[in-house]
Amino acid sequence: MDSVHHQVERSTRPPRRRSISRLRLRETAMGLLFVGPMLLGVIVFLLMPLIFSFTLSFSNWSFITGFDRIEFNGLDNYRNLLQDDVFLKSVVNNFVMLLAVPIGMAIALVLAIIINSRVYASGAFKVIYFMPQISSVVAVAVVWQVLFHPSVGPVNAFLMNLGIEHPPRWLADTTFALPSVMMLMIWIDLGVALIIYIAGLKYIPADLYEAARIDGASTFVQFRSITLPLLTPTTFFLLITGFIGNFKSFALIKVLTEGGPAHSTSVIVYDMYQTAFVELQTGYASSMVMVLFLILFAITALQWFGQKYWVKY
Amino acid sequence: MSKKKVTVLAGMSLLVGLMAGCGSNSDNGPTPSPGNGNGNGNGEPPVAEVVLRVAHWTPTNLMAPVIEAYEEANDGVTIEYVELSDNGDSVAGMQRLDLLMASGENLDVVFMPGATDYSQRAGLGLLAPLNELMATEGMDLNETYLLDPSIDGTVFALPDTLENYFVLLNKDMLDAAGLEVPTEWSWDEYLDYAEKLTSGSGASTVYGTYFHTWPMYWQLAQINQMNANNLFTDGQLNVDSPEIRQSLELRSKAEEAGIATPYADTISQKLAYRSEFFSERAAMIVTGNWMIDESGGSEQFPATFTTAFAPMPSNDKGQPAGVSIANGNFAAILDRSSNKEAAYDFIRWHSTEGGELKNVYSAWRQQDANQFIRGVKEHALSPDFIDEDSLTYVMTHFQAAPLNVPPSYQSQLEQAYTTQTELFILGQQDLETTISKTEAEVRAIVDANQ
Amino acid sequence: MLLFKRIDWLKAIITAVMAMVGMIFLLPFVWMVSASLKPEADVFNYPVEWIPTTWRAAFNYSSVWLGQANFGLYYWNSMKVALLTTVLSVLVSSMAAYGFTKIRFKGRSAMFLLILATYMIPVEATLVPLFILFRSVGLFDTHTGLILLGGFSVLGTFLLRQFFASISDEFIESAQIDGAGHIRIFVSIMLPLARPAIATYGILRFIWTWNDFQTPFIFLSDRTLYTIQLGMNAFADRNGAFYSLIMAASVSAIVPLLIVFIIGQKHVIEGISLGGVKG
Repeated sequence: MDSVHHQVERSTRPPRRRSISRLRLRETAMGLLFVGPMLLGVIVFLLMPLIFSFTLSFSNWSFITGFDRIEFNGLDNYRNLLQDDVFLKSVVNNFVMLLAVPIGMAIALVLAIIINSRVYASGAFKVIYFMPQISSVVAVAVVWQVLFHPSVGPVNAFLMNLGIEHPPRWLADTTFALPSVMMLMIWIDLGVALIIYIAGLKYIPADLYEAARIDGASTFVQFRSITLPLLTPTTFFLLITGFIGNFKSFALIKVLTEGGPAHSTSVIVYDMYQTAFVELQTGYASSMVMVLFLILFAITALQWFGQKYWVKY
Repeated sequence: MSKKKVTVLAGMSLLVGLMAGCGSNSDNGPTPSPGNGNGNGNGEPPVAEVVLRVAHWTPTNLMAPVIEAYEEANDGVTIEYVELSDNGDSVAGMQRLDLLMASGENLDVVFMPGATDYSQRAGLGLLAPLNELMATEGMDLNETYLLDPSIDGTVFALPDTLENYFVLLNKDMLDAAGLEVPTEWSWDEYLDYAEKLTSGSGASTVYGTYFHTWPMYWQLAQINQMNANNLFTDGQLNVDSPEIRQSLELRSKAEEAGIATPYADTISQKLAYRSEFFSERAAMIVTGNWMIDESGGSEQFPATFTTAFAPMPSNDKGQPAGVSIANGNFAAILDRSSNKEAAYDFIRWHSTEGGELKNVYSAWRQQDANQFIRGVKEHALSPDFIDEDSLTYVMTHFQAAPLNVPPSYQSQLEQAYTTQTELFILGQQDLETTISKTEAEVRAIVDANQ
Repeated sequence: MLLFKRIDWLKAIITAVMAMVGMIFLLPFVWMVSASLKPEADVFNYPVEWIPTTWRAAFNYSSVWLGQANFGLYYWNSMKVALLTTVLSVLVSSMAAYGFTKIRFKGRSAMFLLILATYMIPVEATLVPLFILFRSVGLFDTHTGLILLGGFSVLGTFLLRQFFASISDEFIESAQIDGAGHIRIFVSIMLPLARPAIATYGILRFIWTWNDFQTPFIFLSDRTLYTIQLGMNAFADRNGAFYSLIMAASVSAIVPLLIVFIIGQKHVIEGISLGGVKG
């Protein structure tokens, strides 16, 4: 937050010094005007449901029965969560899955730099690498299933040709299912990180590279001392939203594995969805949401306060 | 520790109340129902206008003729149909129904696609008890229907259709292998057939049989029993039982012998039983009577071979084949409905004559099997591909086990069991471990719900 | 030697390698097209038949476009919802991003953190309260409801905030000295400078809205309001999905996305000319 300090220093510069307090009031009004619509939307569509969930997490209630049948039960739900093997397994899976985020970002960054300046027909490559994001989730999942078919798929046929007698059964394997899901996630979301990085690269002034080149800096030095630091706001964004998005993943799991086999790919949101909409236990599901929220809050807060050590605006 | 205090401390009940207020304000949905069915003490039956709001997952256009027929026969009754799914998807339909109930929608009649859904919602106190209405009418449930949906003596729904289970066979493959269409058989013989019907290799393997992912395919030697045919019945756990052992053994035998589609393929490829059978990748499937219609071919799966039918195998040679649990759709009246009499009339009609009109396999004892088969053949694209002899045999030799309405937390039991069976079939734990772990988990769920 | 100067061989080799890797990313699309041309029974044949042995393209595409479902209307609805959602979201998000980076006021960081915190709630957890809310205020079964839900995106605000933060404050200060207010600075300085970022976010929002199934599924019931993703659902039922038809519909639905992507990316490239970024 270096820039804040600069701004404060500069703010004492405007012409009419005596009306500082009125100016500040006007700035606050303008600030609220600009931020207001977003804030309002968020309060109505997100904050209210969150408070709703928070309240329900202390109750034993099914959403289909009406509010008169609500029974508050204190911390029972949270206590039960600690003994719920499926839930605990889901939490662990969620943490393992986080690994996909930095890996995906690193690949995206390399690809962004290559596509940005080191290939012909860069426009075509952007489209190609973005394709899994545009294609229907069903198609993406099916192609994966087909390629990694445990007995007759091309990947395992190849592995068997290499002399591996029992190749992994991928999605049908309690050990390999989670890594499979992670690979697929990287594959799908690569396009998003890629185009965001490409946009980020556009904000790095070309003359910086020019100057570096005149100083005789190698490509790698340029990357390390110009590209990487100037992309930190973008990286910071991708990291925070990537962790949150990854932690909340649901659609892909539902389409691909439904949490199986034997809960090896179950995640918190999937477990919560099953609990809320199949088992109709809204109160218990709400306590899962709150745990998810707390974990994410902790992860994000850690990153937020850590940003001053590495993010350069 | 005072639970009340925690609640007050949370201080959030206000908000919930607020939300509740929002919900009930919208009670009326798009059109308020003017019906006041309770007030017909004035002698004349419901000539007073009654509007019944009926929710089902069948698309509107398919439901319309049935509704018209009912309205025509019953003056003063208007049915307002609430379509829960536009493609007949009952799972999505239930989700929509639950959301509608949560937002205070006024409904009178709701349909549910199985005993698990039924028992769950009855357990939540949403459904009206029908015993009094049945007594007023003088209807004897067991004389009228093949299924008895009562839960501890209270009936919360009428059985609207009947689903039972049997075996579909690819008759062309049977003929090629020189096998007869079985009439009496056991699971051992079933595996025998599967072995003889398996052919080819690699990607073009035709497997003798395919087992779908549903929990019932892990209970095959249990659902063909007259009693104790579920994981938990009448306060009794049936996990550590010869039936469950046999069910698991028969699956692992088939898997190891390579005569059933490998389970890894089934889950990783999300195989669908229809395409496995109709695209001739599997020669036999255990399935239910909704497939009778389709054995005559559908637009997407045209019939290219003759389908024959065989009764549910028995566990041992001496026992009769053709016994299976019966499930089905259930028709219930919401507890908050103010048109209970009219709603009751409607579900009585829908579960009997209405079923005949739709040509569904109903739970009504008076249903005529031959007429049903004729109806199926009339609608089939290629009626000649339905083997009528074996179909008639199966339909007339079916023995419905009495319905044990599962507990309201059945879905949790099934999930726990499926988890263990997956570890078993994927070779990660042996039979005894599977049984003992399932037993422990199922017991924990039962205890937690007592 | 001359030739060497004209063609950068290293660049050509990298291009070739990237193209090969790129094939993997094209596979889902190729599979979609291939499946959309086959009869249903052949869709899952092994080994994969990338080129159909039996062609049913005409049947599949005409079932989609001329069948019972009013696919043209769904297309139009999707277009309307995705476009308006994108416009609303870009507007609200860029305003908020400007407020959070270029206007100094009390509680700014706290408000931003509050907004970011709400992003941590999974959509699935908000369905029930939102359903109740929407039914009570009349937003259920309207396009307005969908647009509002998609329009207030925390992600967009955060993304644009990051980009706005890297645009130098000097521009704003000199404009302020010239007497320009925040609204004028926002419209005539920030928005043009932020074009690559806005175009990038606009592309993403449009695509995500277009491909969203869950929100319309929960919040729409009138068939004349259906979006394309909902319309496609008619080709699947509890007994399974008809992949050939779903893929014919998906291929048809992908065209606007490609157009939006290509047009949007053009703005990202043109953005290079801006000189006003921090060094």
